[in-house]
Amino acid sequence: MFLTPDGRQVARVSRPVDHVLIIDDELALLEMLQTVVSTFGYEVTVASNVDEAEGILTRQGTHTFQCVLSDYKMPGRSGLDLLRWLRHFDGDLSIIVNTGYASHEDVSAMIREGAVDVLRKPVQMDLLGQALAHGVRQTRISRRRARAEHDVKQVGVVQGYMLRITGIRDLPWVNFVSRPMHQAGGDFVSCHTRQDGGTLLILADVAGHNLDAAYISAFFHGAVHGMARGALSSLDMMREVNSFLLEKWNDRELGDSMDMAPEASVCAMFMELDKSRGRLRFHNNGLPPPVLTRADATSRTLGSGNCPLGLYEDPETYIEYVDCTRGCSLLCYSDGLEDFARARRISALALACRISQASEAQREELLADADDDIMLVRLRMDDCAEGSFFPVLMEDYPGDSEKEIDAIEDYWARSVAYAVPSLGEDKLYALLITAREALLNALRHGCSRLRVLKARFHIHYSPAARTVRLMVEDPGTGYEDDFLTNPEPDMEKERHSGLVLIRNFPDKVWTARNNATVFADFSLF
Amino acid sequence: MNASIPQVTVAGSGEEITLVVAGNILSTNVQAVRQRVLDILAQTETSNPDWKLLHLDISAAQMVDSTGLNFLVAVARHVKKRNVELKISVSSPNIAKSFSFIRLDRQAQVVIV
Repeated sequence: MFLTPDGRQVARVSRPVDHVLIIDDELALLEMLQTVVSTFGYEVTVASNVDEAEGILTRQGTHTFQCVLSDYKMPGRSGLDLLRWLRHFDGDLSIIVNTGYASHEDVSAMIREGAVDVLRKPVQMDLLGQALAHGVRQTRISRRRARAEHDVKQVGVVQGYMLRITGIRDLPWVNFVSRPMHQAGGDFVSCHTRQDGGTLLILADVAGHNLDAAYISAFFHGAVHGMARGALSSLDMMREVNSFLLEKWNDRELGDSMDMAPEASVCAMFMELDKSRGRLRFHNNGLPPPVLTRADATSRTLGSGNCPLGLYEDPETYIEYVDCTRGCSLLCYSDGLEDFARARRISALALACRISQASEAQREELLADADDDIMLVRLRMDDCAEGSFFPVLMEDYPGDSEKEIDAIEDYWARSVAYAVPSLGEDKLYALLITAREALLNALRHGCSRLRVLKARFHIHYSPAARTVRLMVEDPGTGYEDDFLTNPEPDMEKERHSGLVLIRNFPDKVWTARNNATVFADFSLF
Repeated sequence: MNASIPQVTVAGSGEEITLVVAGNILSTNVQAVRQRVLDILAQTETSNPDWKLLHLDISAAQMVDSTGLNFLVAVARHVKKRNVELKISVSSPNIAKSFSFIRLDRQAQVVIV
């Protein structure tokens, strides 16, 4: 039997006895505390100063204790010193500080350093019992959480290994980035060589970003691997996944779901790539539309996202064929990348551009506070794409956007500075003023300020050529004028100053479609 | 870039008047800046007919777009008609570059501070 803090006698249960370390320089008080705390049912070890306590914790291991009860003011080192020492070695072990003299500032410092409770001397037995019970419980919770984090890390290690054996990291023409939110996540990629020599790439994102998503992701990873080995077409694979989700996994009454696994949906993109012929056949359900960029820095998004698999019998999958010759690259990513970019008020493409070029360590730093799984795959379709352009901004602006121009420009500035950190202040100014003037011209004249008409706005970056390229295009018929392209225009003629700025700030300017499309290059050399 | 309307203040008396525009001059705020500057110039012409130099201090500006440049050219024309010299202080070399592109540096003394 042992005595509870409220005076009840309770039979000992057969679980391990919690171990408390008590530190106090007043020996009589130390003995009294040892007796009382033992009576509460704890195993007790005592020390008369901080050095002795640290020695005990070091020799026996902090994990053998569930709580520490320490005096605050002692000769030599104080209870605050012990707190700081312990935070360094074992942040999960609870400390209660027992004090007769502490000022308000002292108490604040103890709380800041992580004390779970501060008791006033002379200590009341019921308060002491409650504080110990709370401290022991907190230690257990913290240690359980630490173990769970360790386990998640291990799942992440397994996921990393699965990605490695898919071989995607071995393909020299593929740039692959995977950064799960909790070391493990719901994104996965699968890569297979087909019988005709082509490559099948599957990118998928299981809804959710916890361990359950990682587990479901592993299941589908294995399933599509088997289907690919069985030479199923990508469309049939997609149908199989959709049917399984609808007819097996999600086939339940809503009321049943309380004790069951969560409903699952999977966003998936299947890409059949024949690099020798420059052909890509792809279909996408739920992932953001991929961006195809050609060597001349023109980009377009492919297809629409359609709906994720597992929601409807007909997920409305459309197959698209793409000619991938002429130095194309294809950029695909999960919605976690879009969310991360949105939170930083930059474009997803700017983020993709930056992390595609970053080292592993830089990526880890850039994405350190991501709150979703992030996956990015960039495929270079042929060798000349090595020096090709990355899309940084691809926007369509309605003709009545002029009043938003300052906010729009701020978004450009943030995005470009993020994507191309080596771009100097002067080049950024040159790019922004040129882009502003070109877009304002497009909105006012090409779009006639009408909401239904839109100006296309693209910025690309070529790391190899160290060039940022701007393209602004309006749907108008253009205008007869050689002011932008004539090497010696008549500067004295009455001109809009905007054209003067567009002509002079970039390193190179050219136009198409009767000046309705303006291109400008900004060199980083 | 700063989209707000910059504060416009005036200092000095006698031959030199200093106008400080504390921010960018852009298409989104130029109307307000123009009105404030014109009010101050009209007041100055009445109260101080002997002024010889207008010092336009826009050193707080990070950007001046084409609409802002057009406004500055208009100010240059305005004071020239009154035989008043114009000095413009800027801190951004890129803004000074814009002035030379539109040849404002021939109408005013441009100082990079």
